[in-house]
Amino acid sequence: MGKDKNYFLNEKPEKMTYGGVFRKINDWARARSLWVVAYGTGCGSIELRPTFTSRFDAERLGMRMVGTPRQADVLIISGYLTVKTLKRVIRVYEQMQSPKYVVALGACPINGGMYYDSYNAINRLDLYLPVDVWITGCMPRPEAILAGFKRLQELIDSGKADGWKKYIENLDWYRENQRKIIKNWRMPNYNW
Amino acid sequence: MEILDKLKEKFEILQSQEKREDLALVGTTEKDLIPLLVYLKEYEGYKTLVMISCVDWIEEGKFELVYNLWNPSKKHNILVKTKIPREAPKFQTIYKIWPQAEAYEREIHEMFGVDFEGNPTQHEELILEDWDDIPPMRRDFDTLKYSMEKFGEREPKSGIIIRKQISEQYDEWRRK
Amino acid sequence: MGLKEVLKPLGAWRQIAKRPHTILVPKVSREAAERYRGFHVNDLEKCIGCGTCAAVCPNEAIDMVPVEGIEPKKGDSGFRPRIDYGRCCWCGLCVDSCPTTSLRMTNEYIWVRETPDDFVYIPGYHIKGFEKKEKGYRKDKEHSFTDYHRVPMRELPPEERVETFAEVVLGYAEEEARREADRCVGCGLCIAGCPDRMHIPDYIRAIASGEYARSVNIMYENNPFAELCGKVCTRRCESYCSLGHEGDPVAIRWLKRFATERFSDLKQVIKVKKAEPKDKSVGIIGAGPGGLTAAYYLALRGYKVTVYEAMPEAGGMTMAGIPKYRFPFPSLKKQVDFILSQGVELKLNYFVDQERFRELMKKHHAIYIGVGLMKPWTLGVPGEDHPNVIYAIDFLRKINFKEPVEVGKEVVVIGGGDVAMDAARVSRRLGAEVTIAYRRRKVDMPADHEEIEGAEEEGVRIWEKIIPIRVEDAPEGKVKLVYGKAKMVDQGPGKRPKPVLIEGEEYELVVDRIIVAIGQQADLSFLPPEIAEKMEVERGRIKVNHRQMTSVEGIFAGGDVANRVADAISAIADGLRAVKGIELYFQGKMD
Repeated sequence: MGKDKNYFLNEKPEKMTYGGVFRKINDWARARSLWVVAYGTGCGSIELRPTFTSRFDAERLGMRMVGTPRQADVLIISGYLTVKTLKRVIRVYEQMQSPKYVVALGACPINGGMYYDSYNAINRLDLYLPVDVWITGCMPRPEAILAGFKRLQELIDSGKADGWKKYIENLDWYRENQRKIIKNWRMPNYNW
Repeated sequence: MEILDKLKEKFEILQSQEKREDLALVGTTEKDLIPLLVYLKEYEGYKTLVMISCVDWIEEGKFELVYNLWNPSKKHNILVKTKIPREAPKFQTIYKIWPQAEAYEREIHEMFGVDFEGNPTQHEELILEDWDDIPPMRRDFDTLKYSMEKFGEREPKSGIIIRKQISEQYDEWRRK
Repeated sequence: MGLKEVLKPLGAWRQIAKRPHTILVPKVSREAAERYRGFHVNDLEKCIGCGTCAAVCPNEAIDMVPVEGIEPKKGDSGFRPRIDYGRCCWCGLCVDSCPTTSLRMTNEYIWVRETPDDFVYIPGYHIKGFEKKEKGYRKDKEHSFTDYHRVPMRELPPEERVETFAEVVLGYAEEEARREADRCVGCGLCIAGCPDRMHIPDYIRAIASGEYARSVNIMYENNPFAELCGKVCTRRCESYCSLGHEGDPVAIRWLKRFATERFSDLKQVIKVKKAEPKDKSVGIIGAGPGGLTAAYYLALRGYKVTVYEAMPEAGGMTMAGIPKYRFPFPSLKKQVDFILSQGVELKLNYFVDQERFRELMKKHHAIYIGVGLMKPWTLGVPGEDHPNVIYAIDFLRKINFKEPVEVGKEVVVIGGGDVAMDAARVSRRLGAEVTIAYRRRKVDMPADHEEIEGAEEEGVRIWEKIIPIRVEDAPEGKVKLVYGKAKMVDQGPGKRPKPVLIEGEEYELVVDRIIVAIGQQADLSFLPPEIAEKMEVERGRIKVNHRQMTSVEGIFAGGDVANRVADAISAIADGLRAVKGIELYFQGKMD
């Protein structure tokens, strides 16, 4: 990867900065203030608008969109992922601070959905990123998304939402899978 | 239509058709295409290149390039088509006539592998980063096979139960 | 900035009394629309595993899997759809195309899991808790993919029919046939219903795409009497058609008829692959459909085949028994000629008796018995030997061989099968008033319902629950049938009710002829005693194994003489099975 040092994880972080005596309190608090990185990857992002605005008003459950991955807790994969997007998604995910959670919307991340035979859309997201909650649908309605977030909150509350730990522990496995489809880790400069 | 008659006088027209009131279609030879586009732009008011697309006629061994032009004053579209060989497809760029053609040609180069001579950016990746196979929009590209090999699937499908299987299953069951 | 600008924002306070339009999920749950396309539910009892949902699914989300507790049977593949919610896009095409309407969708839409492997399920088998929900997307019959009604077949009007022996059914025109063929969903459930396992969906697809020659070639892969079947088959396949559950089944028989009738010279159409000639020879007794089928495929495999037929024409019961308004002679001739052109030797007017049977045993390496049932069952009532009591099978044979027959003005036909219908309709064509007397009810008749309807249209009366008691002589060359009425006695669930004579009542009917059509039996007197004692016979039929071999080595049997179904397609199937059996027998690999 060489000069892409700034973009992607090169090695496992030495210290996991989560746990300790206040863990339970931390979990309780975290579950009630989930900040979601405002990044829509597929058609599902259209369902996020009513979810986070006044119709379903996810903010009353402590969820809101933030514009930068560094402040976010949750990454929503909202539908199909192309190889090109996957590279950006990995970059976004690795920039987020632990603990961090991934929610996958729709059929596409599970087994390809209607893009199962596409030359450019991945079929199984769990090969490339650790996903905590899967919500199927095409696309899931805001109610289903909120049901998924409720499950995520329960998982965080009980300390079971540890996808981010798995990612760090199995970084080599994930990297290997990612490298199978992403040959070139250079990010282009968008100057055209 | 007037414009089609004019074109017929000046260029070698292989096919022409008035599709709709605001849409006409002309097919021409590879050689006449660029003069025809220039003529339409300079003298007939077809100032805008709406898009360029490509069709794979695999049975004929040809790619067909389709240039869609728009005349804003007459509110009229014209589709100009030409066929180029499918083997080592090559054509001239028109980005000096319409700069926006550069991106369209880049996309066609990526999706069909047509080489637009003189286009400065066509070799850069547009959508497909790290592409490792034949261009995917060609009809001989097996997209399902590629997807299964590269991206895998969760559980192989047993597929549709084909007809004979049904009666075989029945016969087997009856023998038991 | 004036006062107005300061005060204006305060106007927002008037919204304070309004109800917020936020839906307070999860405190409030909002039900989806009545026809929302949510998760699938399948009625496993109603589902027949036809796989139409799997075939139509644009995402290959559905595959058919065997399900515990569901056995395949005729008209049911035993498979059930399994849906992958990692593929599904909830388009509802599976529901729209379901021929039995067993598959539907509920308006349930929340499915959250922590592992990605929990999204595959068999609706109806894996219970998810929303099965009872009534709301949701269902098939709308008005917007079905396939037409519920078959393209009607044109027929001669009844009043014209009784005048002539011309074919009643006129056949499809090309456009009609293609429209009908297009209804087929290609599930293949019909194949299990066909004794001969014809490749029905394949040839229907060929017809739908206009490749008629290919279609006939597919038929000839396992049936050299495709045109015969296209005209007179008992078409059990159609009763297993998946479309028959909600509408009319595909007219498989008429489509076969359409494709085969298009070609007058089969030699130019059918591509046969002939094997190298072999030095074994097979003798076939009886040139019926079964015998000729065996002859055709044995000849293609290179064996020397000789067919011995007692009657002056080949075709067996299809020649002698089926009236010509159902199956014209030229059609039979065309098919038989094609079979003979493959190198089959045919000896007509060659009645095989005990002496000749011994000769054949010496001459041939294997023998196939396809003699059919030529001896009629008798009524078993006093006075049956009256000259005016005739048997349907003899009557029809005489008519078909153009021998003179006299039926008089009034005829009663006793029986309720296809032969009874044929005898009645033929008598109608000879100008008689015809009554069919059947001991059960009309709904119990084994005859094809189209035949019954046809007979009634032509003015045949059908009397139910009639049991003949005796036959008496009547003046003026007539005959008197004395009969009693029957009552139907229930025999418990799953069994046909039995007709029982009501004692003490007797009725009389004076007619010119009584035609008895209560079935036929085998006449096995041609078997020499040394063979006959070895050959196992079960309830009047020769017992055969699954390769059609009798208990005597090297002697095979098939058709009506060996099976209980006694129709042409079963005979053809027996013939085809015997070919495989004979080949294995010659190779010494008989299993």
